[in-house]
This record gives sequence, C-alpha cells and structure tokens, in this order.
Amino acid sequence: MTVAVVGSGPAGMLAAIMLAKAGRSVRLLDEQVSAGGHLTYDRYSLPGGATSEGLLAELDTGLRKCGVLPGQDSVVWGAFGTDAGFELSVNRRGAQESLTCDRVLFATGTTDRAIAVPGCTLPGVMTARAARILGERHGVVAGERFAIVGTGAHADRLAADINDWGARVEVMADIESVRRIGGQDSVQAIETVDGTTEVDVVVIAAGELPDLQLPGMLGVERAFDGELGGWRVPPGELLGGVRVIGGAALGGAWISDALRDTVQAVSAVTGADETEVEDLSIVRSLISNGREYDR
Amino acid sequence: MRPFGAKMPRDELSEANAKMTRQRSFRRREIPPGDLVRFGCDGEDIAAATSDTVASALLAAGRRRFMTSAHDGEPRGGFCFVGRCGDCLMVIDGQPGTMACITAVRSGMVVETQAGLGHWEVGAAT
Repeated sequence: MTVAVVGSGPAGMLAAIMLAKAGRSVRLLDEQVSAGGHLTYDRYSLPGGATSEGLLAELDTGLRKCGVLPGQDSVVWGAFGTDAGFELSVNRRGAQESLTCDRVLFATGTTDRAIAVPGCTLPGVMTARAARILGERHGVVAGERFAIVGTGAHADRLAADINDWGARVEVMADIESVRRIGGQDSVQAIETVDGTTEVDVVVIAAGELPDLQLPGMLGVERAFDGELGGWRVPPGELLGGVRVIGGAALGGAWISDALRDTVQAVSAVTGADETEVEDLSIVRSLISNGREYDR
Repeated sequence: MRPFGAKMPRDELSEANAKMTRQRSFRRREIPPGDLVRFGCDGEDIAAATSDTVASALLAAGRRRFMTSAHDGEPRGGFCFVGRCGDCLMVIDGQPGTMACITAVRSGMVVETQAGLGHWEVGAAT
C-alpha cells in the first residue's frame, strides 16, 4: 500500500515518519531543494528551550531512520483519480514520472496573500516569507527602510527580525489602509490612509491561504471561509483516500496545531496512536503543549 | 528635485555617496573566500555565494529589476521568491522564462534582464 505525501514541510515530514513506522510504503515529494518548508527560512524559539532549527533536525533524522527517501526538486503538477487509486504527475528537473498510489496526503501548506493597489508590482514589494528567505536563508536584506502590510503577532515578530537584520521598519499598516505604493523603477514610498512614508521595501504579512490546487484537481469539495478570506476543505477523509493536513487544512497555522492535526489525520489512516512519535521529543512536546512560542 | 547639471554642495555629495556605498551591499555577512561565485548580469560582474539564488545575489548587489512585464512593460523584481508568482523571469544562459528566485548561481553563468516574454527559439531545450 503506497501512500504519497505531497509537501515535505513539518506536517509532511511528520506524516511520512508516522506512515513509514506503521509499515506503509511512503513516497514523500516536495518542489523545493531541501525538506523543511518554512523551517528552512523562519527561525523561532519553541516552548521548553527547543528551536525551529532543532525541530527540523529532529524531523530530518526521523525521516532518515525510517528509510523514507528524499523526494526534493519534485513538482507535483497533476493529481488524477484512477480505478486503483490515484496518479500523480511529477516533474523532477525535467524528468517526468507518473506515480501511482493508494492514498494521498496533501501537506502543501499555504501561499501568502497578495495585495492589489497601484504600484503593487514594483520591485521591492514582496511577501513575508520572501523577506525571510532572503534575510534568514541568504543573509540578504532587501533594503534599508521597510513597510510591513499586516498587523498582529506574526507582523510584530517580522518587524523585530527586520531590525535584527539591520534595517528599519518605518510603517506597519493594515492591508485595508494601503492606498498605493509609489516609485519609478522600484519601491520608493507607501501611501496609507495616514499619509505617505518613504520606504524601499514593502513586505506583505497579511495572512496565508491554503494551497489546494491538487485536491481541487481531484474534485475535493471546497468551501469559502469568509474569515480566512480563502477556500478550505472539510476535515477528515475525502474521496476515499485523500487527506489534507497541516497548514493547508488549517489555513496557515501555529506549528503545534499543524503537527497535532497531522498526528490525528495519520493515526486515523494507520489506526496507530500517538506512540508513533515517541522518539520525536520536540514534536511530542509541541503536540501536548499550548501554541505559544516566542522569539 | 535638482535640475540636471546642478552642482551638489560637498557635504550633500559625501552623504549621497555614503548612501550609495551602503545601498550597494545588502549582505548581512561576508562571503567566505571558498564560497565565492562570479557571474555576469547584463554585462556587469556580480559576486555571489555558492548558496545564493540568482535573485538573492542580484538583490545583494543592489539590482532590483529582473524583468519588464509582458503585460504592461512595468519593471518587476520578484514577489514570492518560492518559484510561484512568475515575477522574476530572466534569460539565464540563453534560456528565457527562467525563475531567478529558485535558480542556484553558478560560476560563469550569464544572466540577462528579460523584456516581456523574451525570445524563444523553436526546439530550444529546457
């Protein structure tokens, strides 16, 4: 019985480990160069002295111990139902593969919300995760004066990180209050209801939307969630053999919620219980504790 | 706004120069010598780290425009940086439509700003 797991962020990695331990044949697939999802570009501390980097290392080790082969650089661009189960179209650096499987778990995560105001396409406008990929992974600060569009805990943490990178945060504004972004060849200013400020980078940290293109191809029912501002799928088993787990199911989530969701979903599939995560101490502590984490 | 050709007072010029020097380097950490990669962008020599993508290396060098939109001719410089939005398409080693944000730098690589859809040759390999 082959189970395909699409997405090797924390939810996908954990699902693959649990499935492998329960004796399933697992194919883990991800379009990025390395496994880890947001753990490869976001650094934060976790309760009990753990860190996001420690969590990634724990999941990496867990995968290797279970013998799950890495499936990076693999773009799953199609998903089809067949008589025997499912078929995924996979492109790996130009090489095509049609992967047949009995079950699919989509751990495809989320995409950052965009903004639609005049000037929103100027060089220098980017998503929160883009700013982190540049700042944390590559050590490149995109500019000197940042505007953050978005408010709340995630935006505050991003502002603190931008300061750590050596740049200033000149403006933090709600997405609804932004009128336009000005500049000739790239960002030079942002205009909100409160006035105009000179900035050279505008970071959009205004929420995330689930990536549901592949379950959508399979015909999974989706409903529009007004509060989230995007489409959601119902929880649980879908179309006999499909599940959506982690951030893609919850609509962008705190790491402990995403892991808890994963454990629940995989346990339902394998009939196993939470003992499958016994040797993953950070994962165990996250799923049994609350969702607070600090920088 | 100064008229073209106006002379700048000495201290304003130093400030402007200092600003330019700062803006020329957006790296938080020095590239270790063993990690250095050099490639060309529109004829300019760009220094990068082996771990850089073309996009991160260009931004580090102060280059913000990667392409002009086929839709409206406006400058684009990346948005998502995860290979999803299509705002970072460049001609890399002769291949147009290449996403700079997920393409690793390589020594001697030739990168060009892409105008619109770029020029595609029939039968060109990926």
